[in-house]
Amino acid sequence: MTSFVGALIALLARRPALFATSLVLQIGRTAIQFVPGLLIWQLFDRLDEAQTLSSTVWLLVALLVAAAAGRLVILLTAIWFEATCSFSSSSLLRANGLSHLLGRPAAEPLRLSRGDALSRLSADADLIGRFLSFALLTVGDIVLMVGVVVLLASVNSVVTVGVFIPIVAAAVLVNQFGSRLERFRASSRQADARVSEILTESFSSIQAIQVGQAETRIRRRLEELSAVRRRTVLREKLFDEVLMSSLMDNIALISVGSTLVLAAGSLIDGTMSLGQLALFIYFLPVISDSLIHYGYALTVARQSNVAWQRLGELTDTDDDALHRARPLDLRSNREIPVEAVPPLAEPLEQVSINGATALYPGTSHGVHEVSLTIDANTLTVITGRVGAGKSTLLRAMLGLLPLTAGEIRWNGRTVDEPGDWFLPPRCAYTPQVPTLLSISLRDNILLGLGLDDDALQPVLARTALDHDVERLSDRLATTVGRRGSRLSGGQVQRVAAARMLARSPGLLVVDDLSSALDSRTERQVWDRLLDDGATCLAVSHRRAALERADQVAVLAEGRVVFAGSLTNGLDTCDDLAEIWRRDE
Amino acid sequence: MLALFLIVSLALQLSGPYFLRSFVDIVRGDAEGSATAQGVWFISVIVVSQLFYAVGTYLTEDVGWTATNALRSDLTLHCLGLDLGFHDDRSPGEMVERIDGDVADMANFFSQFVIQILANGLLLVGVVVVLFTEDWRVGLILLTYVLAALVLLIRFQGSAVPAMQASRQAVAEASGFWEEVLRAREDLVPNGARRFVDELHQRALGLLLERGRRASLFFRAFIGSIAAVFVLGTVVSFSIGAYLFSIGVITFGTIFMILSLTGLVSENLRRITDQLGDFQRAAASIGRVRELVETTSAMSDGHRQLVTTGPPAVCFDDVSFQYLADTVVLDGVSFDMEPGTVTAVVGRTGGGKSTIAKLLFRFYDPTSGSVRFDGSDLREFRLEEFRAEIGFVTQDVELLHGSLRDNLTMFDATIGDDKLETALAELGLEQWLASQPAGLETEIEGSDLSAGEAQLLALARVLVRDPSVVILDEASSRLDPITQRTIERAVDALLHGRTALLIAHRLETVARADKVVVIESGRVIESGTYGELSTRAGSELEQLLQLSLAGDS
Repeated sequence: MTSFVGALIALLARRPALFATSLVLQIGRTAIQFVPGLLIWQLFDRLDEAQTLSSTVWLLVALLVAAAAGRLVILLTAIWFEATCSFSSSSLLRANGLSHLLGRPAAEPLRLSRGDALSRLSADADLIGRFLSFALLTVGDIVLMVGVVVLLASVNSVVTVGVFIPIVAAAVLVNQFGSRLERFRASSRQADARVSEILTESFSSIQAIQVGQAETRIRRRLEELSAVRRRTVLREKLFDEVLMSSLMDNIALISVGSTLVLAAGSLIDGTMSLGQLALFIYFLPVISDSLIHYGYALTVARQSNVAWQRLGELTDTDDDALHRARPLDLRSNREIPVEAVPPLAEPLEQVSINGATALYPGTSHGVHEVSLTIDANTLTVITGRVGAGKSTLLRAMLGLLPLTAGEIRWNGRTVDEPGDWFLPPRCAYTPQVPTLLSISLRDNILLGLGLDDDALQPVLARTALDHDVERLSDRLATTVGRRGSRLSGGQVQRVAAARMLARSPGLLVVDDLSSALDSRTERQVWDRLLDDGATCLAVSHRRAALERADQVAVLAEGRVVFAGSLTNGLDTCDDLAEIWRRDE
Repeated sequence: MLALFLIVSLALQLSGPYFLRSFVDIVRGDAEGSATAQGVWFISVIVVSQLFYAVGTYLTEDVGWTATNALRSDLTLHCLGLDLGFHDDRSPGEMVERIDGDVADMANFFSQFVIQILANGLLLVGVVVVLFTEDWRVGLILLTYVLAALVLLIRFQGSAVPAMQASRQAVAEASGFWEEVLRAREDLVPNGARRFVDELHQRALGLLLERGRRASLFFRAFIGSIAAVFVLGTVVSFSIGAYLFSIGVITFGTIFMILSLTGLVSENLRRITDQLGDFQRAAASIGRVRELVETTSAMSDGHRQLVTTGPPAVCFDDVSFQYLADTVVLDGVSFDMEPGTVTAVVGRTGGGKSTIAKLLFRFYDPTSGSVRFDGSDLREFRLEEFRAEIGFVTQDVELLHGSLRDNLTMFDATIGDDKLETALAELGLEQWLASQPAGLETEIEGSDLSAGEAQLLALARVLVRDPSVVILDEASSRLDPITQRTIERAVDALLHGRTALLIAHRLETVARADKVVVIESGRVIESGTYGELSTRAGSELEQLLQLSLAGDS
């Protein structure tokens, strides 16, 4: 994975004009702070000399007010750019991060739980975005610092040196503690992710929680995890904010005191004026603020470094996938472009699976050396007991699980990356337990496909959804609720089937379509699914499917124990015979 | 105690400007003494005051976390208990953001707000009193400044709340989107929806950008205006100081002191502003949290104790239900379930069968009509006691990311291993359990398990308990016929002596029912014993059976 610094440079280089403008504004924002300092210097000296109020004094006072107004204008402009920079960078990380996660084999578990992934996409990406604006702010602060040092040194170099020694000492000290702070940070973020995880899990399994009456037990678990988080966060805060920041504050304010001590001689013998003392006193809080910014930027830098590692863990990539520049259209009112699925360039003749082995990572569960051939315009039904590897076989063929051995062929040619190949228009898929998004029914079916409602009608009819849609209050515009909770299990399954058919794929891959369908609907769906001579690979143990099959494959313990016609199978394969007999 | 630390710290700060005045007067020859000593004093009070302030801050931070953890815990329990109608509209990601994120914003408010406002307020009063003793005109000017600044602060302090609230909402929506998409990977990726998801994502991120930028602009405009006000304060106090100096009422050092005190006042007003800023964020969050707290479950908790003397009689009496205003799901459904008998509800998909199961568990309450236990409306009972009597296998099985044990016991530590192992063995999962690398401690990722295995685990969850009512909503729909046969005995044992509701869209499971209810488009079109209906010519069940046989053989 790219180093954090490399990633930052890439993020900056992506929007050079934006960041440059932001930088100029940050420098302007600090530069304007010189104006009041110089004015105050003059004011005190005029007053000290003249002992009366002259018109020059009033002019200087008016300029002070004008400078304050100017500062406000620059500040607001700077904020606008700063926020744009930081959100644009975090958006890139998030967009790339999510795309990357979706690019992984979709049935392989993520390396992290969803709750943890959420916490990283949310907080860690945000932090890196904010760090970039802090980095610019810090550049502004450094410019300010240098300017202040030059100005003060030209006034009185001895006092200036005396004032800055403790400041430099503090900065060195803070850096010494850096690595420990990073460790504290990592453990507090970890504890934070655990809290986010238990909440995510609980609310995504709300039915199971209520059915199992686990509400109070979840609460107890949450309390334990929250207590751990409190301890780790407090430890980090004690170290970071309380010790470090107050050290910074102290040092800066002590500097005011040391100015007094060091300047006493020069002030008494007249080599330094009281106006110049006022200048020092004016700039010390400014420096203190800059130091706090600087210290905070260092803290955020360390935190961002941790955040960058955490994003890397999430995506598990060793290239620049996370920060690779790509166009983003960040308008919240934009239309989502639709696209048509191109017609299949070369008609499907045959798909074959040759000696395929696919296992779930870290287990021996999966399929072993499976071979199967699917011809165009036929229905192949895979059947077998629970856990025999039926779904796994489909997933392996579609590239949703990586193959550890064997190959998939399409019209006789080896498919290098099944995950990139088995996509519409070649293929579409209905998983065993479909999950819908909480968008409209129409969008769930189309998922960005450019079909109008008229073109969708035949699809709804083929999946026997047309009457269901009629009964919904907003028809196709009905929002389906959390994971489709407003629809029945059978409706969700048929929506998933419609989603597949809407893509007019050459090959239909269907995992256990009829588990939530009554017999009548089930038969309707099968008939209509196959009515135009579709090529279909399906997992089922239902007669409605088996009797329509041109080929039946029986899996047991991850291996094909029979493949052939139903009639043959009923005679020779015990598992198949029993499945057939029991399913009446 | 916390307040003490902060007040001591602030009182020490008040003495700083005095040393500054003495210093200036001494170097200018207006007063006697050692200028260096004044400088050393100045340093000392700053150091001690900062130490006190740091300790105070740490302690309040601790208080803040303790308080918000308690709030999170209560809020979680509250939300977990809300009806499903509530959860249908909200993604888990959004819930996390609201329970964890919003509450975090309130932490500071809880721990520091009152103390900080109090301590800094006292300091403001202190400064004004000190300046009045110096000269009434200075005191008056400063008092006017403090009051004017406070009025401005209070007037504008709420101005950023709506923008912040909107920004938080955008964060919650983005979280919800991520959660959904990661959950639906297997649906989206192979159907070529990655581009669509990416477009939706960009739009959500765009909302985040727009609202986030707007919120920080509003917030900083507020802070920036305050800074401008401070400059005005400095100008005003300089002017009055310079004037009094020019007419010889005060020393030159006193101008320094007045300015320094004005600076201190501004610093304090800034701290108050910071607190108000936190308060703004907290107010946005409090508003949202309160909304959650005030969301009472659509189902009121009853007060009646549930006394169970064996399996209850259940009655659906003219029950109608709709999720959305004009979509009727159930329409006047009535049927009885005798104690200890099995009732099967059959019918076409989308007809409302699962809704009947959900009403019996009180996931929802009927829109009209009632569901009764031994003659009493379910709404009369205490929800917790009532639900404890029910074993429910829902149609979609939800597994948690966690150990196999936690998934079976749902974190109930009183359920022993032997019970879990027996249940798994009854479901034919003995070997499967043995093949799990860490046995009951094996971490389960939803997608490691086949949907059939998940369904078996859901059955096991019920087997380890002893409910008096059992609801099986398509509990074996994802099992192959052979496995179904394996578990038949376990299911028979589960149904025996309990009042049971079986939901089935296929008829093979119906034969074990004492009574069958046929549902079509939310209405009962037929009910009776299985024998009665299946043999009565022309009955819907008989037709369904005919159809099923014709199709399947």
